[in-house]
Amino acid sequence: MRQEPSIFDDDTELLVAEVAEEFLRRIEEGKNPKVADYAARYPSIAENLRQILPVLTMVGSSQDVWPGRDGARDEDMPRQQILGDFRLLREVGRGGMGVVYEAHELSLGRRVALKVLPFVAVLDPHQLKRFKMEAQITACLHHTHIVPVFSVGCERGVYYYAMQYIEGRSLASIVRELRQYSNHEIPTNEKDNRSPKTGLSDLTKRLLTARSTHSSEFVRSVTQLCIQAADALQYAHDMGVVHRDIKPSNILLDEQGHLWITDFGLAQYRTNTATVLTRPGDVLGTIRYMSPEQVAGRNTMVDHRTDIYALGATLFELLSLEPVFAHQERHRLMNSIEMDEPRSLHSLNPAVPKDLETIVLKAIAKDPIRRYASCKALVEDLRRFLEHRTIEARRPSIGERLAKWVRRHGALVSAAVGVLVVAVVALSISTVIIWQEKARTEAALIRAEKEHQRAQTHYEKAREAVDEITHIVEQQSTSFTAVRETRRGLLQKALQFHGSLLETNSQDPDVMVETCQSYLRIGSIHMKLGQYDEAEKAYTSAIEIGNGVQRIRPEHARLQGLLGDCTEALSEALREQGKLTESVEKQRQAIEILEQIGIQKPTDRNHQERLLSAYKRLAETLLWMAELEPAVKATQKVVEFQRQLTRRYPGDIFYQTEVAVRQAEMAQIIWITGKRNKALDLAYEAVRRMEHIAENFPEQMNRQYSHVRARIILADLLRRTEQKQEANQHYDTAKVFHQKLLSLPAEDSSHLWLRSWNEIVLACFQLANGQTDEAIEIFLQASQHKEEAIALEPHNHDFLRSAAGDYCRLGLLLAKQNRLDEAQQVYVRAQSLCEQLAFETPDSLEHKAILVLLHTGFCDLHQRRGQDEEALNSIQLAMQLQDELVRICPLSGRWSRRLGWGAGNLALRDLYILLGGMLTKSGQAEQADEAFRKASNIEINENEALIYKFGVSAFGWHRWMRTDPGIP
Amino acid sequence: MTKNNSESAELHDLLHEARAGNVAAFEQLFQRHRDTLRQIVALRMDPRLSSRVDASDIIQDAHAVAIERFADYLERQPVSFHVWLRQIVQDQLLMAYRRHMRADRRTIHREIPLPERSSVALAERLTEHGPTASQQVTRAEQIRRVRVALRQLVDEDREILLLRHFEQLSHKEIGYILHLEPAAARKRYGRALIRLGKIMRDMGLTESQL
Repeated sequence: MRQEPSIFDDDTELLVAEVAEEFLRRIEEGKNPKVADYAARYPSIAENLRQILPVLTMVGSSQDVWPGRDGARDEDMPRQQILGDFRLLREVGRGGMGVVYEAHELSLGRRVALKVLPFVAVLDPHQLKRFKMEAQITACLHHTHIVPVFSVGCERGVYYYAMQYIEGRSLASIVRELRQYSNHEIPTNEKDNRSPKTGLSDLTKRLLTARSTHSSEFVRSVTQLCIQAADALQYAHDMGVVHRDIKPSNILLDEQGHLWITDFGLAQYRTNTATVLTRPGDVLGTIRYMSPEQVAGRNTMVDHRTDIYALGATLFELLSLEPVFAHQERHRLMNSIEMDEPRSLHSLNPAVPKDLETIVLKAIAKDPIRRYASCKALVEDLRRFLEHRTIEARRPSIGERLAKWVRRHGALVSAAVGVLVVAVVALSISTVIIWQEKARTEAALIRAEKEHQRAQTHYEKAREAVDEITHIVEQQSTSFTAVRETRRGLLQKALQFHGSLLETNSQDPDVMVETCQSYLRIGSIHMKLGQYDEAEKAYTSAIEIGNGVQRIRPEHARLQGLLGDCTEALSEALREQGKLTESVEKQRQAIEILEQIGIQKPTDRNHQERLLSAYKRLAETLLWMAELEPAVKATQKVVEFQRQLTRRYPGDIFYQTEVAVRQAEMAQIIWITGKRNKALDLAYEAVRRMEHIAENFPEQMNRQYSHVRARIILADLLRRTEQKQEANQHYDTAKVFHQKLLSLPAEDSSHLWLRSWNEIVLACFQLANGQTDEAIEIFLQASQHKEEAIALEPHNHDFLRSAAGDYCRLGLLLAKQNRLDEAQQVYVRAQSLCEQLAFETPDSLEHKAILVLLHTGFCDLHQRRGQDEEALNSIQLAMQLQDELVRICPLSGRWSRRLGWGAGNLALRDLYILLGGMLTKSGQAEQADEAFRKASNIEINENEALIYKFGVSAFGWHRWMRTDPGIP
Repeated sequence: MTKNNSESAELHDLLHEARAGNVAAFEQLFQRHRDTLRQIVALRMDPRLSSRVDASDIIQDAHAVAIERFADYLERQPVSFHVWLRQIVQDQLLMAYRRHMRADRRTIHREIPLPERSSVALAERLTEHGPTASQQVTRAEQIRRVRVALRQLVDEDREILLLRHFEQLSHKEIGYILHLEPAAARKRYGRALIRLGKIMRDMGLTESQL
């Protein structure tokens, strides 16, 4: 739709509307208004009138759409009333105590705002006197941010205040409008006529045109407004006047962006007017901002600090667009004000920094003593915040909160405090609240009120605290030793947090979902700590609870996604422990759940990617289990998915390259099952695809790392079928491509990783070709890239593991080429990496497998140096470890492909043979026989053997192995 | 604009009863307006939405919200009953659009995208008292021309014209329904008129040609 820019200011539009209305009215009255007359009368809009009035002559109005309206139409123009010296022009608003009109002061000829107060007539003489006095004092308040009161009058029993007329809006109205924009965005469209933006001052413009309420711009603007208000209040307090009714609807912003506080000192009269004159609906609006002492009826305690509370509550609402307490029912609201802790400002609006939140919390402290002693103090702290200086306010210490809690729940104290103190160390307030809550629900009577609202608040607070911690953890990326302890310690504390969030007895589905979520988090922290069995327990608990929710409320919005996450996480935890069969089972379950969700959200891209990666992981695990056919099937599913995604998002070459890579990998598996021709065909197709992509997207080379891999896989297969020339050609092409990739800037650690991976693949091909020296050079490059990646992400366990594995292989190669010292260096580095892994992921099977490799390498090194005894030690160590591994996880085929080494039992067998050979050499014939016997007793799975052979021959180990004497 | 006295008295009684907690009274009140509201909603549902949701569904949602807020309305009575209901219905319509048509995430529906059908209704109303003296143009052609003109307005403009002329609401009532101050509603109306006037001039439509 063509939208014409409005070059008319508001006045023109208003005028046109008014003239049009008059015109229409005339017509309705049966008169015959002439367009020309109006055009002459209003020359500034004559053109517009000439265009539009003729149309209006045709407008129908006789037929009423609304059946029997219940009363007359709400009049636009009220009949003009005279009240004392004032002519009432129009109603401007309605408040709890009366109606506000725009009026014309006859004697002075000025525009005023007239607040009519019907209740005053009902006051007794004593109160009336007080009212008059208060009015006089209020009239004496002269402050730039207080609406001046001109006069108070009484006419025919009706009392009224005449004040300066402020053209503007209340903060309540602004908040209401901001709330409408669900994305927290504020319309930047100047033509959007919802808010009168023309002629506004910088401040309000900034307030209303900050792009979003979730921005520091907005937060600062709001803070500045608050300072203005607090300033005014301080002045009033100095004059001995307490407002008592500070709230967003009593604070106005005029069109210059100037803040005004209105309605001083009237609130005290409200309590006397629980009559028909006051509309009870307004009371709710006021109660919301009442201080606890007001709510409790302790009027003697109501002083200037009540205003500070109310201002704090207003500030809270401005910043978050939510009131501090949002209950809609009077008693619950009052109860909340007295008893409940406010929600976390930061979680409602992330742009609100800690310091500001602290200030707000201090202002709305329940105990007046805990608040700012004066508005001046509040202003100072707010200023400090704006100037990025340290604020004075401190969050209440654990001790203070504890004391308060103890006072309230004496009986429960002894039991809980001991545990509390332990849990509370270095934790924030939130956990205390949670314990409070737990104790309360345990000991309290059954409430009608839903507990989940409260729980939500606490979860938010607690999670916020944990986010802090995790953030710090994430940031630690420098020195290795210094950080290890801290990181672990912090993660442990995070565990404690989440532990305290577990509401295990609740039957409320929402609470249960939160608990499930917490278990999930706990599980992932355990994973980070390498405590895989603990992780398994946590995930299992999470699933149990999730199933519980399933029984009660299966349609809960977050449930399915959560169950999917938990099941997959459990699968991962099982995998790390080597429980591969169970892992596969869980992974299949997770996929089922994800498929279900996928049906409901067919176009959700993120979801599809998730499903895709779930299938990938399944395929990987199956391969490790040497379940070749199922692995092929799963990989086919992956390819299918990626093809779908390719079709849907043709511009995103990621999916296309993925299809090609998966095909190449599938080609390898298919080769292992014996279907060589099919495998070759697939490999060719994969490479063709890659070429096609390279041709068509030359500018996106940095997303085509996998091109090298696909090509090398083809080259390798060709080599195995003795088509050496063609194989080498592909190798050369791949190498050139890789060089091109190296010339691009590496964007992040993943690029470094991919480079390293490509280099390993290239090196292995050369190795299989017998070009050992060249292979070593490329291997060294690969290690270099891995080190760079590790430098960027020192706790990335995948990096660490694969680097360690690489070094072990490299060491063997170097040793073979008689570069013994270099081999030693490389082993030492591998060892240090293993140590780090051992510390961070003590239960991981992978690093144990690497240790096997490492010790085998040491053994080899010792042998070459003629240190036979050390060599024997090393190999026995290696065997011990391998034995352990095999016991835990017989299907340890995973290592065959990645490390080119031991497929579980096979590796063990080879080790025993190796050992036997060495024992024979050193003359220990009996032990040698023992070793050989063990070797022959080991059961070999056929598929495992195939994979092993494939893997071994891919990396040329067979050459190395066979050269050792004594192997039968 | 006629006031049906006896009917309004009856409605007044119903409100009174409803205030006293008589749920049946509320339902009766609601029933009276249900059909009109349904028509009004139907006018504003474009095919993309109506393929997913029915006008009655939206009225149902509005009904639920109205019940919730009725006590509050009774206490405050900011506007007349049907206007209050109308606002709730308008909001529900907008929410239905937001909920069901989020394909283009960049546009946050601030206005209800009015379908052609609403322009028809509006065009008819705008030309109701067309000068039959000028027989150069048939009524159908009149309506067509106005429709073409209306099509070139933005949703916001058409909405305000619909509310003002089709539903015969005052600016204060319109303001309430659209969550605007009355002054802002009046300005919008003025703006819509100005734009419509320009469009018609650009189309070369003068009084005699309509």
